[in-house]
Amino acid sequence: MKVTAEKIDAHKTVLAMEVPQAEVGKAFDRAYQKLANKVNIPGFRKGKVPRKVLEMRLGKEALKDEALEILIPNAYGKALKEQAIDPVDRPEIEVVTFEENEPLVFKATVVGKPEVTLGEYKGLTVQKPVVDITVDDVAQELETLRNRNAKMVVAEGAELQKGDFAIIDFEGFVDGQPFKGGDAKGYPLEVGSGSFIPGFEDQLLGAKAAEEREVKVTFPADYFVPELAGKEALFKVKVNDIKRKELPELDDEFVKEVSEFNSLEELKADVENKLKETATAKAERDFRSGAVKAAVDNATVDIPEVMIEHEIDNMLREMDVNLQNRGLSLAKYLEMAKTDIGALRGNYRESAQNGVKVDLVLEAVAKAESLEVTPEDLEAEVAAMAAGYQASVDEVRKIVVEEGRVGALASQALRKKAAKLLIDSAVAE
Amino acid sequence: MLNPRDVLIRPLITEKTTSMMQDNKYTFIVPLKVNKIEIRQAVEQIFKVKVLDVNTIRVMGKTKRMGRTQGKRPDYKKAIVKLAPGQSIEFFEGL
Repeated sequence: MKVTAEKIDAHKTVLAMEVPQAEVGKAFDRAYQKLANKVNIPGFRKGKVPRKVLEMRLGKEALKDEALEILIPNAYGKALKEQAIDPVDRPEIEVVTFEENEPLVFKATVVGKPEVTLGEYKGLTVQKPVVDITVDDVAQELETLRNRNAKMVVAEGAELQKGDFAIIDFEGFVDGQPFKGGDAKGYPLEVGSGSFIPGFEDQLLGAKAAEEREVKVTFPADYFVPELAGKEALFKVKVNDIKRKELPELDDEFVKEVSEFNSLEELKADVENKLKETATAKAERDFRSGAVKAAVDNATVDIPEVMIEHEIDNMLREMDVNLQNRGLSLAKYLEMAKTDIGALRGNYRESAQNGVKVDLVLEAVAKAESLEVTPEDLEAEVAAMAAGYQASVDEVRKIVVEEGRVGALASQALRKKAAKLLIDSAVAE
Repeated sequence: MLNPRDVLIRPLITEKTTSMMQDNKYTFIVPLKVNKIEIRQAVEQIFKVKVLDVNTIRVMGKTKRMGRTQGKRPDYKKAIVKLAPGQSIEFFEGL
């Protein structure tokens, strides 16, 4: 087989191949066998049709197509190996000449995996945030705990302040007429929350329990009820009660109530521990991703467009599956988010590009370090997947093999190994 | 006399007849009423070959039933024509 490769741009290569006539003839024979076993021709049992009759019935083209399907993948695969091209997309095939008694000449335009120029990737210094839990952090945590357990207490004789809850009756009038939805009784309003029309809450400040007030406000121009938008309104408001948040005292009593600890000291220690743990975990995560990112940033890759498009496709597919689990579809989601598929693709573009680059760099690192995937690595990968899906390891293994995803899994394991190497060799700053 | 094209309805191409072609015997479906002489003349005229021998078989159609109704497949006549050695017929679809 003769192969000539010609690079037409940064990623695309045109492979011109010539398959000798002997192989073409063999392919025709195999194509005939395959077709003969498949088609039913009256008067003949399956697979017993003479070639001539078959050609008469199906036409020579059918046989040619079949032969081509045998020849091209074979030749193409060999050519890729010979030229050491790792394709990322289906090739564009153009058949130049193809007859049974002539050598087959065809061209394939293929996009190869880009070369990765690795920068420094071992022993990188990566910033690792220092874990430091101060007394203030603990105090803040305790404060949130207090807030969460606050009780609403009726404040006798108090004047309404921001942050208080006022239990109010109100009746609203526009042009002297009550309007729909403008009255309520016993409504708990948090003053300062801004849940009412602007100005309403401010005008209640300083009111005491059982006080009645008149509040004049103007509906905002973009109010959601068009009839009321921009109109002036008068509200007769009666403040029934004023309730105030009362924070529990921070003492052993409170500790006993909200936690399993018996004294404030113990709680404090526990809070500090937990904070430290999360901070340490976060620092570790940052360090790991930082190490990989630094290596990726040091490398240069010219990523072909198709790879990014593929990655976006994958991401969208994943998203679609996620949405379907929640009873939505991608089309519906797009409608709800008021975007279209083009805009969404644009949004994903950058992260897709990043993802592709990370993968490529990790693969390059694995190659440079001649890392290998061992059966144990695969096994670990399967086990991790099983844990993720809450299925048994055997089941997952079976599915993986059935769906032919062993290769993908292996490359995933390889990338993980490469990432581990980067992280292990990185130096914390 | 019939037009020779009307004597030969179509070639019968099956596993059996293709293997018989090795012995220079070619099989046709012919009308029930034609005789061996007419078949010989038709084959010689159309394919320009020398016929050594003609054998004919009347094939009776099977009776078939669909529920209560009974029907019969048409009868037909097969003609097996032996050609002189070295001669052959190229069959084309739809004679």
